[in-house]
Amino acid sequence: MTNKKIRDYILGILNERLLLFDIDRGELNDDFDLVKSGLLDSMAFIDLVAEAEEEFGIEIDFEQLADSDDFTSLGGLAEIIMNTKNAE
Amino acid sequence: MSKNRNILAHRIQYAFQKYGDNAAISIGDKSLTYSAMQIMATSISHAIAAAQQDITTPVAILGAKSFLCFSGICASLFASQAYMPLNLKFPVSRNHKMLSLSGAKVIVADSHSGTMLKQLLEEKDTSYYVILEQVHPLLEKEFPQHHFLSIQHFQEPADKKILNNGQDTAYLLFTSGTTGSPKGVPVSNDNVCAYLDHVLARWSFNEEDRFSQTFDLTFDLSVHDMMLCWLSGACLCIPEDESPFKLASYIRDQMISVWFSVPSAAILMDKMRLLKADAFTGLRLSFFCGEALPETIADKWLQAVHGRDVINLYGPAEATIAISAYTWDSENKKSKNAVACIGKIFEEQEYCLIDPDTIERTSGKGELCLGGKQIIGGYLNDQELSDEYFVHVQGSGDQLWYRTGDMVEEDGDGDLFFMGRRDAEVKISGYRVNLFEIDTLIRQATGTELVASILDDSKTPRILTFISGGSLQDEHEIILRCREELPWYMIPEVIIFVDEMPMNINGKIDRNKLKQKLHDQ
Repeated sequence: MTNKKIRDYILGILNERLLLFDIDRGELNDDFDLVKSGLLDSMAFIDLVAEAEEEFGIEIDFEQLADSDDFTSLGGLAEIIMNTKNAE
Repeated sequence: MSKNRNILAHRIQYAFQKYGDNAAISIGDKSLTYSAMQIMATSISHAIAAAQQDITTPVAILGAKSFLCFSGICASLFASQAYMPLNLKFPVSRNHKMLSLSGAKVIVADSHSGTMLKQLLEEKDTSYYVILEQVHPLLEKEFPQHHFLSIQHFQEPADKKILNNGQDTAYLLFTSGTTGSPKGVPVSNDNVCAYLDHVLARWSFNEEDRFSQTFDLTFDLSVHDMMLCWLSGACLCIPEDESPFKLASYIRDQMISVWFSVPSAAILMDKMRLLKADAFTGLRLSFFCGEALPETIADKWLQAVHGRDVINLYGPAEATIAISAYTWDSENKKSKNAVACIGKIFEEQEYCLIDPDTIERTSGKGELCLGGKQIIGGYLNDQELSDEYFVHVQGSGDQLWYRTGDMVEEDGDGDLFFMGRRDAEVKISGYRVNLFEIDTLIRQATGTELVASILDDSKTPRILTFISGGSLQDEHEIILRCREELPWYMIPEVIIFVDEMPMNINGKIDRNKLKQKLHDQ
């Protein structure tokens, strides 16, 4: 499982939102925050995580995540998904 | 004390003296005692008085959840004025509108408010008195038309005489209106004290309690947290990090004992699998309000707090915080359509059900109308709007009843169930959103009348706006306009252009058909 594949998957789901906000996928950095930027609200973000969990057959440990400050960023989320998947 | 029981400022001052050494607020690992807060609030109240403005206008509070802002709220009341919270997360134009609608000339601003404050001060026609912890000389130079007061120059120890009577406004809030302008809801000292007296008599709080504080100050449920906490000598625990994902660890780390939030906060925890049995055994009282509480969430929360009281409150801002309650426990689990019961109207208050079309009394099922000491006298400076919502009901005496717009059902025990709205108002995470307010703005932006926003609640609730025709067909531009004018929770998530707008027989846009269209897709 590569980080790029996960990143592409996330951006694929967000495609409609990104178009609405006129954000170019190519310009997005890893530290782009999906929630703080206003792209998603907290509920929509968790829904996105749930979709990713289903896609990759994983279960993310939110208990641990709560302490991390960047899990709502594009790179942060991709990394958590990758680490969870690879830890299996 | 007894003759001053209906004046919030007296009650707070009494508590400040009584609980002197207790912590009144904590933010992260910093805390402020009641005595320290009294000194800070008294200084600010002297600065407010020095501005010598009309005491019938409110004092605006601008900032994050800081010691200064909370003290500023008390200070406004000590200065015999109301307070009006602004919101750093709102667009400048929204805050500006609230300032001009309220007539507020005094702004208490904390150190987090810098950018927003400067944008508000660019207003040329009004001269504001800005009260700050410390005034930077550059600020005075940049804005010569405004006056700046530093609280450090107002360290007089004596309290000022409080000149309020019960009918005077204690706080002024704004809620989404139909016409593109927010509605001002002035809540009086009598209103708030009636609510506080009910809650204090019904549930007990003590000096050991640690209250949660999850609401924005622009949300009236924040008044419940502050006032019940301080009148009980307890500690108000402000989350240091406002991230909604961290609420579960906040409950544990801050050892919260009294919880209050919108059900959305619990739903989010549940989605994160954090709402497990015995997860929050430190909570002895949990309140929910602001939107429908799903029964599954009520049950899971009950298990998380090991069966201790879970209370579902209900009430519009016009009826002061909340006016009915249902205690959800192992024996009482009434619900309808998978939503928890909202219980009985507080016994000191009055209610009746009406047919929304004829405004005649009905029973069993109808629009909920409210009366009594918790009900505000009317909207701010808008008699027409007030006349629309505060009405006479045939067979229910001379009094005016507040029409909530909420359709309810009543069972044989007098317990109420929320069944929906009679108008275009919806709830997003507990925030009241009038869909017509969004439509009005988008009509202006696009130049077409054919605009209709709907709430899609098939999954996570979201606002969708349908547009037909108009000169502006760029969805990005439209969203941008919304972001400039509306609070974040009112921004449509999707804009859909349609060739033809479905109409009903009255020639109005058929929103039900639009919803259907969405689900057929």
